[in-house]
Amino acid sequence: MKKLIPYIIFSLSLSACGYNDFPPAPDIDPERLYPTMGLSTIREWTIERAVLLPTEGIIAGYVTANDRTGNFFQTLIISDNSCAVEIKAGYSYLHHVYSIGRYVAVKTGGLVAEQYNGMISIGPLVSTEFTQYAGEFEAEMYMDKSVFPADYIREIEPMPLTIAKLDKQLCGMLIKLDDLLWAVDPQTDSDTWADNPSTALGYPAQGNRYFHDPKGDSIMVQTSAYAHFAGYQVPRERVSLTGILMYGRTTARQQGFFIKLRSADDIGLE
Amino acid sequence: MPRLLIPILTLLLFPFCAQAQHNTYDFTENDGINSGETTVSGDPLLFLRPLGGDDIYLRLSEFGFSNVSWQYRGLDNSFDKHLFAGLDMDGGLSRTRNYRLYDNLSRMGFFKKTVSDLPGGTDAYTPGFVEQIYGSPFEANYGSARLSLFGYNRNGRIGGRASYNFLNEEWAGGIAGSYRTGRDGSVDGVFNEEVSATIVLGRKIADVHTLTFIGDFSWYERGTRSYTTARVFELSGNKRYNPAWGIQDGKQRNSRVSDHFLPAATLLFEGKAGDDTRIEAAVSVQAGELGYSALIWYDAATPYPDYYRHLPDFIEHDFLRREIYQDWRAGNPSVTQVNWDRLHYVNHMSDEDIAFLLERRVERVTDVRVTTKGRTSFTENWTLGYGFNLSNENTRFFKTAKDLLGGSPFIDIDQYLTDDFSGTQLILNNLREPGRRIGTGDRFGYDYTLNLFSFSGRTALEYDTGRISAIVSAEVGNSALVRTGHYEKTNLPGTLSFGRSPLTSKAVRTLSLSGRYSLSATHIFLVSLHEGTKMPYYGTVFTAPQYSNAMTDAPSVKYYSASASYLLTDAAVRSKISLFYTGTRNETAVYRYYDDLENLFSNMVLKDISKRSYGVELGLTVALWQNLDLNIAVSRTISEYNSNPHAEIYEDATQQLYAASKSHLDGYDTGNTPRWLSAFELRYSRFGWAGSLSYSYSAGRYIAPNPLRRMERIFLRATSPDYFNALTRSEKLPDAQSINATFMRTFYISGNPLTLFISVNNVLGSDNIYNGYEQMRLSRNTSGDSVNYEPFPSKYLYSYGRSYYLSLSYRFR
Repeated sequence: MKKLIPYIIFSLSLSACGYNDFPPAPDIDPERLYPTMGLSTIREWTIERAVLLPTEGIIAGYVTANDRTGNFFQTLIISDNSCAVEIKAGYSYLHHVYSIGRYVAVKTGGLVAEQYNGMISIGPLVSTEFTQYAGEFEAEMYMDKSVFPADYIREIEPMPLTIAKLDKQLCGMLIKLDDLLWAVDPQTDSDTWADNPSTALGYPAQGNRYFHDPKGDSIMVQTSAYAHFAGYQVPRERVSLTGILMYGRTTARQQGFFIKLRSADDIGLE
Repeated sequence: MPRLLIPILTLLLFPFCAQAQHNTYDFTENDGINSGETTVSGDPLLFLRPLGGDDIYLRLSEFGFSNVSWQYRGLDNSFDKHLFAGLDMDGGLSRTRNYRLYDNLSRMGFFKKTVSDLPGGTDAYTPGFVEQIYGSPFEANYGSARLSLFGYNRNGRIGGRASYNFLNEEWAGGIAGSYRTGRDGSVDGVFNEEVSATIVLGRKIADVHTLTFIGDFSWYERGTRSYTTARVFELSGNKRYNPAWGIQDGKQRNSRVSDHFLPAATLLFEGKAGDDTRIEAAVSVQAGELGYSALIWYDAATPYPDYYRHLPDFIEHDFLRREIYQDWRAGNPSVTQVNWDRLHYVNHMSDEDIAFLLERRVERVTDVRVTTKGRTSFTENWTLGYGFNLSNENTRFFKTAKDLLGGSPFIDIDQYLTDDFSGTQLILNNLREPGRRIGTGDRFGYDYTLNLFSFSGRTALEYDTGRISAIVSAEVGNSALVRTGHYEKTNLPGTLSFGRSPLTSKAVRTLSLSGRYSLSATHIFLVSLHEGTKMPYYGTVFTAPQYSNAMTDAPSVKYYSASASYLLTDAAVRSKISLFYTGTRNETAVYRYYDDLENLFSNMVLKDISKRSYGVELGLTVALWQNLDLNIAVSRTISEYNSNPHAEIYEDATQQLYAASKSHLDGYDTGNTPRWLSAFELRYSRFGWAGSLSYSYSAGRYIAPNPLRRMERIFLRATSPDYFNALTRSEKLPDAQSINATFMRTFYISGNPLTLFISVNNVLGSDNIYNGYEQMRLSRNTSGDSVNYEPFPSKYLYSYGRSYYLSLSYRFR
């Protein structure tokens, strides 16, 4: 018996139970769902009011904007070339799963679509005593029940436009404007796209920078102070800008078009 | 009211002396076998030499207070020593304990003694306690083999232990080993798997010297559990909820796993030089790795399920909040635990290389320690003790990518500076290898070496007449610490992060004076005084040791202590009651945290910390009846800050100072130990039988205050008394109590003992908070024009519920 003890110890040491041993990453192959209607259909439905979307419907598009650089917050924009829709995620760090160019399908059951200033938004139904509107998913596991990204990504080309041709029907679309020059207002503008939160005193302010084209038409570029490129210098040379077209209040008294860049890569020096 | 019962019970029981003789023997919970330590009932003076003896309070408290976090006399545990033949047993600069070494040595002629109020002439000088392992293979009773099998429901499930001793006139030795495995019975995600083996070989030389070699090998891997908030415990409905694990591949996977592999070889020499001089020397080398895994994330949400933003309370819409709440109540693991499938999914989908990663933080240890000590008796009354310690502790700290979780090899950037608002440029952790991609098992993040070289010499002069003894002792030495950075970080170029830091060299010293007066063999008085300085903890010498050579200018820690004890020893009562006072000054602490006022990852250096601890402790053993003892350990300890230390806050990315002021900690409880600790144990033993029933109760428990909330830059922002109190109050934990029971029975089969040991801890299954801590984060709430800052809720850990241990041991002669 005594002679067996060293062998017992040795054999026990070899018989690890593997509580911390796991196989390599599992295979992941998300299903690709195909749309039953175009995004432009949603635009038609929502011209006058918010609508509860069909229970069995599917819409689809490619991600044109996400929260990767902080200029968009807790939201996604998908586009199918005819129209664009905002998905009101309501939580952060979307960009890993919903990367730019990814094909995304949305099962519309239980979702509401609404239109405001030309932008179509969809989200889960929220009902109050007086109205119903598109809420936010707020948690990824609940967005996963309606929004299905596929394992397919493609290059997204912006729509080339001029300021004169902007239309509220195009809100949400990824557009490109060429030959723009910053109309710097030395009274109000700093030389960066927005305040930098790490250096700003008090609340950092978003930046509104106006650019005009050779025809004299102008457009505002709105940049969140939390955008990674907020502290970058605004170029004083002629540039092309790519961004998501939006419409809304541009000054205290005026409404107009503005664009939001997705990253510093959307600034093209000419 | 329960708190008052402690002193009342103590006073009532103290004089109670049944006229019974001691013939008990001790057994330990983790052993189940007679340890061989007999309680001496003969000459108490003999028993109590050397001074301090085996401290009754400490012996009872070893298991008696296991349901709460406590520190001896309220001191930081850096004052406690765990020594083997004078060598520090704790491995690496982080002082990781090898718990199995003593377990194995105890089967081969070695014993453990825990003492306090140490006078000079011994192995260590500290106001804390000293746990000493001593002995030699020649002290094993006889050549034998033992085999034990055990089952339990705490940390693991089953295990076995085996040992073999041999002994002859010149040689003695043995081998002992153990194996444990299993998942915890009450805390999901917790598991334990460990193997240990110790070899001892001793040789007598010329009949007066002994040379002993000890080789120790142990390896373990343990799934650990994490603290969380009261709200999460409430949501989960489980006081042993553990956020660290999740389901992968159909089984529990813990993200926080510690591993330990630190083989050691020790050579001991004991001998005599003439009739009046005893010499001991020891050399120890240990080298290996300590690891700890954790999830990290790059520009992604924390994957830990108990983060406040993942909880239903943070959801705005009712239907979603209800759904998440129901998931928590139902224990849906994809919501309540780490969602490993989701992490793999996100990594797969991301167009970034990686979003989530399991890392392993490694300490690669190479320690060499040498100690010698001698005692020479010049006359009958005068003895001189002397010796020196020498150690070189070299630890390389780095981390590796343990599992990419389906992600791709990635560029090594600072994970925190990718999503803060200064992060316009990605910060490389090592700009010397800018394009290197990190794959599974590769080193990344940080890589540096700390080398601590220490030496000290000590001497003690003892005067002992039997009735009176006095010892004056001194230890002087030096410790030198240097950091060598192996990575050069983008934002800390050159020697700011790379290469050798300036050398931090500190003189260390201790002066001790102790005395004993024996009024009679029954009544003894002890006093002990210490004053000294010690090297600051390595983690406080550098502002951010993981990647920066920037130093905090931490001075040596000064300490002083005084204690006075009265020992009563007669046939039926043994007791020690001590008054103590200890103070520390010039302590430094470093906190790394996210500052919610400035939205910056920050390092806070807290300087000039002063603390004091004082109180009284009682250890008492009363023989109530034949074979029946009552053991009591009670202490009242006040451990508090007695200064307002100076806080300096540096931005982590730039190491620039951006805030400095006092932290108003004066008067706060340090949170090191409960103000009241008590354990009462009834122990019955006679030949072949033993059992015990014990009750422990602790009260006056506070959470350690975080210094940030006590700075004016924080608490002066409070807009109402409620907010002010939330930021500055000292949080008190509920009182804790536990009932434990043990039973042991020894049978004899062919003259060989077969021992059955059963213990049940926390018989009533009480929910006791083991410990808690204040988070450094603050939440910002805007109401109209006012902005209020509230502290994040504290996090807690509950002690184990009802747990059992059962072992069956057989000894072959």
